[in-house]
Amino acid sequence: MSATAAPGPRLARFRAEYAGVLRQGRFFAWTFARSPSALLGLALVAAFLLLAAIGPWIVPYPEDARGAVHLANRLQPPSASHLFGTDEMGNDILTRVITGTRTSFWIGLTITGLAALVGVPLGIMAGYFGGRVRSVIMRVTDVFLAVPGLVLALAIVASLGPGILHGVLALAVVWWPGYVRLIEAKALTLRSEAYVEAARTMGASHRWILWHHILPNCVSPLVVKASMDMGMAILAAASLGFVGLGAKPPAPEWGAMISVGRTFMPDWWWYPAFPGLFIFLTVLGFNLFGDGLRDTLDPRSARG
Amino acid sequence: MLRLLARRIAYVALMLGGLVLITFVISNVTPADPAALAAGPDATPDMVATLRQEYGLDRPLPEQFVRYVGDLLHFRLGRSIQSGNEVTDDLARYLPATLELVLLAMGFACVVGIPLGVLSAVRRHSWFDHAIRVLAVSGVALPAFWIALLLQLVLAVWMGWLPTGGQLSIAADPPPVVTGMVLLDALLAGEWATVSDAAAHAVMPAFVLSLPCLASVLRVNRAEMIEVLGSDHVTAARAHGVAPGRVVGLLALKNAMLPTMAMIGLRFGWMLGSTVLVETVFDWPGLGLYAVSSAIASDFKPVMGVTLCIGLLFMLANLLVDLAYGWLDPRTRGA
Amino acid sequence: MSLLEIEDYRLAFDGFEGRAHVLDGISLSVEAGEAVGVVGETGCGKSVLARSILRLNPAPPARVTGGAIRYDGADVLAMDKAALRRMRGSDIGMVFQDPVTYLNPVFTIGQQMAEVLRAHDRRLSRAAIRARSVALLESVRLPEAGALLGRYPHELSGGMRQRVLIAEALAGNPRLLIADEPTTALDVTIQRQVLALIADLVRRMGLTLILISHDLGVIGAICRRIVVMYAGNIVEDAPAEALFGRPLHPYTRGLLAAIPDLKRPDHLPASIPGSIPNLRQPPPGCRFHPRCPLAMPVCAQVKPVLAPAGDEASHRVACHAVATGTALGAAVPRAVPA
Repeated sequence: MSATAAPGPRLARFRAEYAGVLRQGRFFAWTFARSPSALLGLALVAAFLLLAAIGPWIVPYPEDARGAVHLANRLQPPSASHLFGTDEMGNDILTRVITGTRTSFWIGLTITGLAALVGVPLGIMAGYFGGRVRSVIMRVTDVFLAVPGLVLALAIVASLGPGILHGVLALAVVWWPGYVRLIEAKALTLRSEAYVEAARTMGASHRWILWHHILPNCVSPLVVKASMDMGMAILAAASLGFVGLGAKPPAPEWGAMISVGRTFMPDWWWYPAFPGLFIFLTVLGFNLFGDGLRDTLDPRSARG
Repeated sequence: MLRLLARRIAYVALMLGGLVLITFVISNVTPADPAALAAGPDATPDMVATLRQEYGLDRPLPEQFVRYVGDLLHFRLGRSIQSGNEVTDDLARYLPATLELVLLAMGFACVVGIPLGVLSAVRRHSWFDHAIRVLAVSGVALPAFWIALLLQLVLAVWMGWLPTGGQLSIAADPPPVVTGMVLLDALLAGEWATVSDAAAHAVMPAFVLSLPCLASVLRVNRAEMIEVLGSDHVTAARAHGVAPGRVVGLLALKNAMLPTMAMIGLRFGWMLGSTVLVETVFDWPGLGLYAVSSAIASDFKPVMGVTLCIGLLFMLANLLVDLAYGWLDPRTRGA
Repeated sequence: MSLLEIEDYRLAFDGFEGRAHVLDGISLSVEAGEAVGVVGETGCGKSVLARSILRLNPAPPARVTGGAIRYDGADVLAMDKAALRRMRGSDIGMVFQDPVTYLNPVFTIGQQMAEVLRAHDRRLSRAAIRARSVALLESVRLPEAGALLGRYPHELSGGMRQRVLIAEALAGNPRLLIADEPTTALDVTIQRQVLALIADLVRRMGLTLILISHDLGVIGAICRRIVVMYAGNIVEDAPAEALFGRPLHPYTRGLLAAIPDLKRPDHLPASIPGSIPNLRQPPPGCRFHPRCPLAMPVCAQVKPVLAPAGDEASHRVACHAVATGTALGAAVPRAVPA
């Protein structure tokens, strides 16, 4: 036992009380680390989060993030001073792409967050209470899932008018049914678990059971889905931006950048190429990460 | 089986009803004034008021809804401000092109994805398997519009191997209309030059559209095959001396196809949504392009029409998948 | 020459936490016409052994680490894939344990039987296949065989499914039948019927039988010769009467003492203390020695060899205590008064 810095009694108590949780956490980490693709996903996601956090402070040309104008420098190919080249206003594309990371982060978080906020409670109610409640909720969910997401989002944005906020709202409306389905299935199986029945016979109220038994067990599929959805939501938002219905230039949103850059194809091809690369890497990262999480939290032999 | 079919059709009708309600709600949350838009920028307030009355926009909402449903049942979807045509006419014109693209993409994804998935499962842990898995993961993450642009740049502009966009070359004569799908019509008419032209135009958009579906089919088929190949009845078949080709290709594959089919049904929906992006990049005259150009011009009726049309297509596709599932898996037929 | 010869066969499974030595030097000879029972508790390796004869263990985790298996003189482990496939079903047939999972759920009985029949003779016409399928189903005493061909496995009862498995195993006219726990998944009443069927088929078709079970009652009903396995080793190999009448190995004696005696309902059966060893780190020497009441110091160092006990060549035991003549009958657990 090392004598340098003995842990205080509070730390020791914490460790003892949560020993089981800590051990499980270590097991999860070890299982996760065994998959190279999951680690790659983690690296990509970490890079994404890092750029989103400190991006605006490390970019080479901060004023370009908000769309400064340097017409003399427009549409330069990639070079040492402008790694990704410049756009039609002379702005450094690398700067704008990095700034766009933060925008994408907010977009993904908002869409996924709103969808989960609406979808999870509905799913729990449907799965746990069953009967007519479940019928109504699932039918409504099915209707929303009957239309391909991008098309429905397009319709909503067409109605509300273009803009990043409307795009996010539209995509949240498209996304919440997925959460209902996932959580409903989980809650349904949980409802018939022995410990839930036992709690009921002991007189536990529905609210207590929902809070202490149902909800905690829904966390792992939820976390897996949310991580993968972050990437897909960012992609969907960029798609709307590409089509011209999302963010408006000069907002540094990746989809909008590609949309504008497309008009400068093929001669200035680097303009849409680099933002697209960032979208790809971001989505890939979240997908690999979500996959890795799924394998860790719910291992089954064939997923490898 | 017939009872299954009847129940599923009733369900589709119910879903369609719900979708109609949703499109109605969406149309009515718009902050813009549809009458003002329809009247145009030079309209006087009187003209706008007249139009509003004509469209029934001053009546209470439930009444508007009834009118809306009535119109739908008579296949009246309104008029497009942009094209000036009836939306139903426009839909009829653009639907075959989208259908052609989607069918080509789906066909490609299945024909390539299923055998590769099987092969990958059989040769597990080989370099081939790893390559397939990388492809499977990236395929879903690739932004369709980005890869479309890049392919267009490299294959069409730099290499000149394929045309940049459109369904046919400008100079070409379209074949006599049978189905409305240019490639198929040209094949039916035996116009080989047109066939090759149409095919060359369809290659890139269909390929880009197929990528996410191909990736998903690869993943699911591979995973399911791995699981089935480890199952007891496969071991029994091997023990009885059945040839490995038949064990894998018939006995195991039929079991693995069930979840694969479900995935294909799901991916069909994504694919329909992606047509919006792919058709925009390649100037393919289909529903997606129609919807996008209308949406940008705040022209609602075409967008709602496309939503209903694509929704119906998706529901029908899911119906087909359900029926196929019932046919493939005898355990579900009793249900 | 014996029909089946297993010589010092060793098999290991490379797993998550190391290598498990599942079969640790199995030596067994089966003559044509014999009915041999292999008995042992779950995890002793009997099913793995059965599959090894047909090389059905999946190759990456499983690894042959020594020994040989010969069928009718031919080296099974060295056979190429084509020869192996010919042997499977045509020379050696195998019946499995749980008919629910061992029948393909998405094909009809007729289709599955057709696959098996076609595997043995590709030139059979559809009519011939159908006729032969019906004949096979009738030979396993399934009524309305013709109608059965169009049914799916989930539409049949457990007993019927097991008979179908037996029919499939016999489709290629094998000489040797391996039955791996064929009655374990069935109701007790059905068990007797299926056992009787197997016994009848073996007699009528002149088959050699290897019957595997954890149930001594099942083994004793049909088999003339019994082999007892423990933790990957054969510990005793004797004719049935000798094994039941004069069990020699402490493990066998423990097994028999654990059978409840209906004539003495007040007496609790004895149990063998301890549990089966971890096959990744098996005990040195004799694998049973940590639980053995007769354990001597040599038991922890040298692994006992399967050798005839006394002057009876057909009764072989792998035990130092028996070999050195110490304590035949002393200090072995008996039924304990309640």
